[in-house]
Amino acid sequence: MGFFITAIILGLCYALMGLGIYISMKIFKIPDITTDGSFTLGAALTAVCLTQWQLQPFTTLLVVMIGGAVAGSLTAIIHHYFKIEALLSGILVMTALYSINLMVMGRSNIPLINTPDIFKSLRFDLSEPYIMALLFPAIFLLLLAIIFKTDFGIAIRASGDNETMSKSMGIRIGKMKIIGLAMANALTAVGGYLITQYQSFADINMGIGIVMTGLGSVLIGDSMANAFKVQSMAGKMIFVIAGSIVFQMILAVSLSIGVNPNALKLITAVLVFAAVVLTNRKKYLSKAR
Amino acid sequence: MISLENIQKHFTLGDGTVIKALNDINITINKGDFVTIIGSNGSGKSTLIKLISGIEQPTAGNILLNKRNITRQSVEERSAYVAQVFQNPESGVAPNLSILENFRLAFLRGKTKSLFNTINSSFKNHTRDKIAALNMGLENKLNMPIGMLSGGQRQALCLLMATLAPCELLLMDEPTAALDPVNAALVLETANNIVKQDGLTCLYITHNMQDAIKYGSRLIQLQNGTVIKDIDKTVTPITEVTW
Repeated sequence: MGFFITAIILGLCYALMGLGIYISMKIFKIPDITTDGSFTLGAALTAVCLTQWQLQPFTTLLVVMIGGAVAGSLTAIIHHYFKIEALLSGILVMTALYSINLMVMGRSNIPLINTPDIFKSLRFDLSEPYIMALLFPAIFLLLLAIIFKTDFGIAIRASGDNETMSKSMGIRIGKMKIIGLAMANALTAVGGYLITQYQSFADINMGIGIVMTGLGSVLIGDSMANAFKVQSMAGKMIFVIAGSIVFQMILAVSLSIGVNPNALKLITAVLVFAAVVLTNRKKYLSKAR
Repeated sequence: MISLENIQKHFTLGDGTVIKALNDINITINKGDFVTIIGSNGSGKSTLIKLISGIEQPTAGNILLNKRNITRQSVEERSAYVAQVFQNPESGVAPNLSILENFRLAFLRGKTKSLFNTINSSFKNHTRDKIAALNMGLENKLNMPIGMLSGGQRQALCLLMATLAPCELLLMDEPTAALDPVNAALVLETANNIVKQDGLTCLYITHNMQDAIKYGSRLIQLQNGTVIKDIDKTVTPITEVTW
C-alpha cells in the first residue's frame, strides 16, 4: 500500500506543474518546454535557499515563484517580441536554464539533510506529508479559479483563444502572454519546490522530460473532465490534479510489477502518446468515415 | 470627424513586386454617416477598413479622428473608440469563453481589465434583454461557450458586442458574407436598428448593391485603390437604376 500513498503524494506535488501546463497548453495553446528548466530552477532555488541561505520554507516559496515567473516571462518575450516560435523559445530558455541551475546549485546534487522544510517544519508528523501535499494544489487551484473569473482573467483566456478579437477589445496580447507564461512557470517551479522537499534532494537532471509528466496529467485530466461533462474552469483544473495522481499511479504500478526503473521515461512517453491518441480518437473516427 | 488624408497603402511581395492597394485616398466621414463601401474584389475595400481599425498601417498619409492624428496607433489603442464586426464570425468571438464572458470583454472594450469582477446582476440582466431582442432563443444559454453557436448566431452576437460599449466609429467588413440569406437579412436589420437607435457613425463594406443602397446614407465606390464614386444619398437620391 505504501507505494500507492507515495504515488498520491507525488501526484499532488506534480499537480502544481500540471496546473502550470494547463495554463500554457490549454489557455495559450503553447506547448511550453520551458517547464523542464523552470521545474529544476524551482528545485535548485529550494535546495540553495533552505540549506545555504537558511531561509524559511515560505520565504523560499516566494523566491521559487519569482524565479519561475522570470523564466516564463523570458520565453514569452522571446516568443512574442522576437517572433520566434513558442516551441523554440521554450527550448532556448530551457537550455539556458540548465547552466543557470548549475550555477545556482554550484554542483549537480544537493541533499536536504536536517533542514526545516514544509513537510517537517510545521510539526506535522512525517507520516502525514499528504496534508501539505493536498494543501498546496488546493490553495493554488482556488487562487487560479478566482483569478480566471475576474475581468483580467477572462482577458487572459480570450487572448489565448482569439488574438484578433482580443486586440479589437483592447487587450495587449504580448502583456497577457508574459503574465500567463510567468504564472505557468511559477506554478511549475512550485512543483519543483514540493518535490525537492518531499524527496529531500535537488538534482540538476530532475527536470529532464518532466514536461511530459505535466502534459500527460493535463491530457488525462481533460479526458476525465470531458467524460464527466465538466465545463467550468475550476472543474477542469480539479481534473488536472486528478490526472496528475492517475499518472503517478500508473508509473507506480508499472514499477511494482517489476518494470525496470530505466524504462520510466519510455513508459511516460508511451502514456502521453496514448493520452493524445485517446483525446484525438474522434478525429480518427470522422476521417475513417 | 474621421478623415483620411492622402492615404496610400503599398504591399511588397517576397519577390519585390509592389502592389498598390490604395492610392491617394481622401475621405471625410461625418458624425452619423452610414457609409457603405462597394467595389469588386481587390479594389481595396478591406485594406481601407484595416487601415482605419489599425490592423494595417498606411505607407503614406494621415488618419485623423476628431482632428487627432491616430495614424500610428495600434488596434489595441484604437479599440477605445473603434468597434468592429469582422467578415468571419469566428474572428469576432473567443470560442471557449461563454456568451456572458464575451459580452463582459465587449463591455470593457478599450478599458482596463482589472483584477476585479465587475460583472453584476444588472449587467447580466441587461445582456439577457439585449440577446432576447434577437429572438434567437439564446437568452437562456448565457453560460454556454460561444463557439458552440452557429455562424449566424455568433455574428448577430458580434454585432451586439460591438455596440455594447460606446464607440465613435463602427466598422463592418462584409459581416454577412459567411451567412445564409435569412440570417444575413436578420443581422443587417439588427445592425441597421442599432445604428439608427444609437446614432452611430458606421462604415460598412458589402458586395450587395441592394443592401448598399437600402442601408447606406452615403455610397463610396472603390476601384483599383481609388475612389471613383462618392454619393450622398440625402443630396442625390439613388436607385439601382440610376447607379
